[in-house]
Amino acid sequence: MARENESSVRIGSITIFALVIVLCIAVMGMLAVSTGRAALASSEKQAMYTSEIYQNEKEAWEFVTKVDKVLYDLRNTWWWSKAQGIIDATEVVEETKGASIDNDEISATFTSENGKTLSIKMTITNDLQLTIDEWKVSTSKEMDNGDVLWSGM
Amino acid sequence: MSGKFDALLDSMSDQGQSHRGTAFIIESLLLLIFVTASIAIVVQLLGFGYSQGMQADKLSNAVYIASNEAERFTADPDIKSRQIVYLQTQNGLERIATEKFSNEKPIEYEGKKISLDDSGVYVLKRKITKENFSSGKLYNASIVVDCQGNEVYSLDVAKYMPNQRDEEFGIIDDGVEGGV
Repeated sequence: MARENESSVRIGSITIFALVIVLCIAVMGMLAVSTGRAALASSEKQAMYTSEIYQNEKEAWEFVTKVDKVLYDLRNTWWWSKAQGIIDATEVVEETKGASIDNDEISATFTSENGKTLSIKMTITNDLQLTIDEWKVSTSKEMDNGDVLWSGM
Repeated sequence: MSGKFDALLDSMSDQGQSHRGTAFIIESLLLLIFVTASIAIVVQLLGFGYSQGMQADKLSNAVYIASNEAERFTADPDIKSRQIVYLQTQNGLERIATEKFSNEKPIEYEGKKISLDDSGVYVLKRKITKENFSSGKLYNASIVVDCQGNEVYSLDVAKYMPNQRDEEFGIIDDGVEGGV
């Protein structure tokens, strides 16, 4: 008699069903968060690298301006010579970090915090003009992250 | 004797059913509270994930707009300071206005009125300054991209233009005109 009156719905099965659903939704929530954070981390990296590329370019153009100005000013004097041009350019090169001069060839490397590098090479011509021979952007990546394969979270 | 025993069994059975019914209700209520709390947390997680995704999208678009403008400036730095409005459409980012713009005079785009405060509207502010040197001019551009009134991304770019471009700068090996 008593067994006939028992309800066919048992709380145990409902609980398990609800737990499974909650678990599934929780996994989807975690996936949404990790995807969102990964996308944001990726965008921030892109933004940072873009800023660094243009920052390096800015420094490079300022350097070119200084060297060109020195040569231009010297060229407008009657005593100008290539040797004097190299001496004047050397002074500017020595003030700039990452720059060097070898006879009439000037090299400079501008490196950002995160490894973006801009290398430029210029030549002082015999008529005291400045020629840009190389303008190269590169990335030097140090693999020092150990076992971290993904840092989206 | 047998009748009394049956009555006792029936009474115990009724009491057991009553306790079971109470336990069922309590357990159901606890389950409901647990499920509600879980869903609340999960909804917050989903919302957080969505907002992070939107932020990433916004930043990515701003970087795209700013770097395009930086390249335009690099190609020809002798341009005016200007404000440009972009709108994110199904076809990507489209330039919808290039003049001075205010919220009092909304832009019309495909029959819709667009305000600066709308989502998906990016305002690029390009400010150009130049330093004069004896040998040429050093142009500096400050590029700022706003979205809904907040600055999303900014970029500083420079370009040097000598007085006599063609005579002073040669051609770089990779075919790009020598810097200036």
